[in-house]
Amino acid sequence: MTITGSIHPPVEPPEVMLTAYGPAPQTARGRDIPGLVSLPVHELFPDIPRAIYHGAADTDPVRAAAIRVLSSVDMSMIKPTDTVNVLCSEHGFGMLGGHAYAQMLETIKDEIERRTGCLKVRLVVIAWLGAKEPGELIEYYELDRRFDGKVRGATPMDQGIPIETAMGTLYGLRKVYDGDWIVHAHYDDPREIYVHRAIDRITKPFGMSYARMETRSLFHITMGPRSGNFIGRAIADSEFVRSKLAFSTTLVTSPDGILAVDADNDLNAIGTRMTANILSSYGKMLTLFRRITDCVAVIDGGKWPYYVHAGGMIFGHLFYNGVDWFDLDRDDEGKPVERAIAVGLSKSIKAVVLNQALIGLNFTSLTVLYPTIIANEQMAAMMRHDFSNPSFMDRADVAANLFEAVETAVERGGTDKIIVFDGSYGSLNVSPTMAEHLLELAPECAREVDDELLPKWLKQRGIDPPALR
Amino acid sequence: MKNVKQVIEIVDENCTGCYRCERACPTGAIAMVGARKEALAVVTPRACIACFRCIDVCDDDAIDIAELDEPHMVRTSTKTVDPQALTELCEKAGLPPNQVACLCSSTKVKELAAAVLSGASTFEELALATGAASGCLLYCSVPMRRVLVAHVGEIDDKSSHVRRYDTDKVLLDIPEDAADAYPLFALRQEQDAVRRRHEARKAREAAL
Repeated sequence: MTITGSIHPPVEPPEVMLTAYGPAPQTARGRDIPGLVSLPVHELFPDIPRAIYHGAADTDPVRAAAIRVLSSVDMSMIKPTDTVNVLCSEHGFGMLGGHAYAQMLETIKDEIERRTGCLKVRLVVIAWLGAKEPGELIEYYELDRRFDGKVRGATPMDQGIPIETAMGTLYGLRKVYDGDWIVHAHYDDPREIYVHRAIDRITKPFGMSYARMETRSLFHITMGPRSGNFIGRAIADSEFVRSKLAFSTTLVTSPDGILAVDADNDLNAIGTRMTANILSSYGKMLTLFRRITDCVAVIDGGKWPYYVHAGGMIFGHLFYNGVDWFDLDRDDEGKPVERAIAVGLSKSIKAVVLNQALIGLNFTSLTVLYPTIIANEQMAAMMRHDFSNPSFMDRADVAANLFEAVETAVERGGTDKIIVFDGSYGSLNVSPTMAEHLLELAPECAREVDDELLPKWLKQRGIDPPALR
Repeated sequence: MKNVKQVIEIVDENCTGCYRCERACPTGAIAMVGARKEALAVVTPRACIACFRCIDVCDDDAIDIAELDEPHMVRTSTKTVDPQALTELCEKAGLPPNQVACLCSSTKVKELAAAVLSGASTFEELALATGAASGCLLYCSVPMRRVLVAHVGEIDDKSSHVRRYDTDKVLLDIPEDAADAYPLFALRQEQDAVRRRHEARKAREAAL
């Protein structure tokens, strides 16, 4: 098979933000690897929903979409003297360069102010762990300006607040809940489907981003990918949260980019729409990733390795591509999440190149499972002091530069099928052999999802397939 | 267990005495020394498990990383304690002995239990004896708390500078009515699977 008609130059990935938690942004990016091409996701699957926004600086389509959908949301509960906390999570800024998310947040504020007269609309920027993360995001995305100075950072180590739930007392972050109202400003990037199984994605931040570290630990240490959904849901369904939640908004995405903005006062209604979109928009690409026989993965982005995109799919989707995580007939057998997801570890990956990523999240298993080559000394220096991966450098090799690293990975992996995770949506930057491989696999994946898998996934979640159409 | 390869060093002239590093240190390796208005951070190098949380919270460039000439292993061997007591403590904590409790330091529940049986009675002592809590913190707080509480009862945390909360529920603690209210989460099914595995493990141990 030839790739005639699919030869496009590599696409430009989103800029990498300067941060204390990663190397200085690298000038040599994955797209510079000699001979690389880009493969639009629509050449694989023409019916992947088309985006209104692909990552450019002009975010007007996102603003217009947000204004349109917010017009049908009831904001009458918000009084001019009230305080509203708009809650955002760091991963939203990891999607298509983050500017669409920043625009959605700003538009929420503007619409609340315009419609209610309330001027105390604060943004709470919740980071993963690092104390400096919120400040970096606030500065880079000019959130201070967008929110007239009413912006606060938060991390899971900040002061907690008890929330009585069906699971007993769990702890959220005081900074999240100290307003009269909260607005849940989320996104539907499926991210780690292997730990949530696309069941109740809408409530996940209540048990993670908006929660104290002990609550996050509950999920990771004792619950499985399906049962773990209970923590976020228990908090979201608590009387306390229900009394505070004004409405929810989400960026609606597909592997092509941002499709729309959704909003609703009813958390369950927006959650069902989110689940349906995740299954229908991402199912084919996920199935395609499961079929990849062999590849070298290049990680080259501004987030933790698992969360860097290629064609709208995160590296984690490739890393755990061993099983169909959407299929609820597959039993997690009550295993805690780390053991439950191990069954999905990829046999397709033959080597990994790490050009740039953030530190602080454990990913040592990369080096245990695959030859791992770090592409520059700055990234290697970060890894030597990565408290979450103290033994990473015991197994990883360091190359002089990206191109040498890729050569080594291709040689050690025994394959020249290269896929670059660089934050791109809409297209994948890949080697020509990888493009051929994906194009060859796609038609059967499309048939399987259309005819068998999507109807099954929807039915398992009680979503009526005709209603989806 | 963790092979500690670095240690932190305080840059006295940059320290502004803000106390943030002391409040972040999981082993109590940092103490503020001096009268409250003049106190500066002082580190006990042997108690540092290289989590670098102090560096993260420091806004004054007052903490550096130094490479150790000889890295040292922070660990508690499970062979140093009575195997029966170890098994019983894990059972009482409601966690499987071989379950990973801290991914970053590769500490299992049984190592936490061994450390507690060897005398660790606070979060700080447990972190120092095992290397747990030196990484991402996403996993370790619940198993550390459950093992400590199972052995010493409710923890006296007054001397700790680190903020902690008492949540430590596990899957089996979820009430039946709550489990039944959310069938898509398969809570009953997973609880049953956990109980079956517990029984099988106990049977294996009894046979041995």
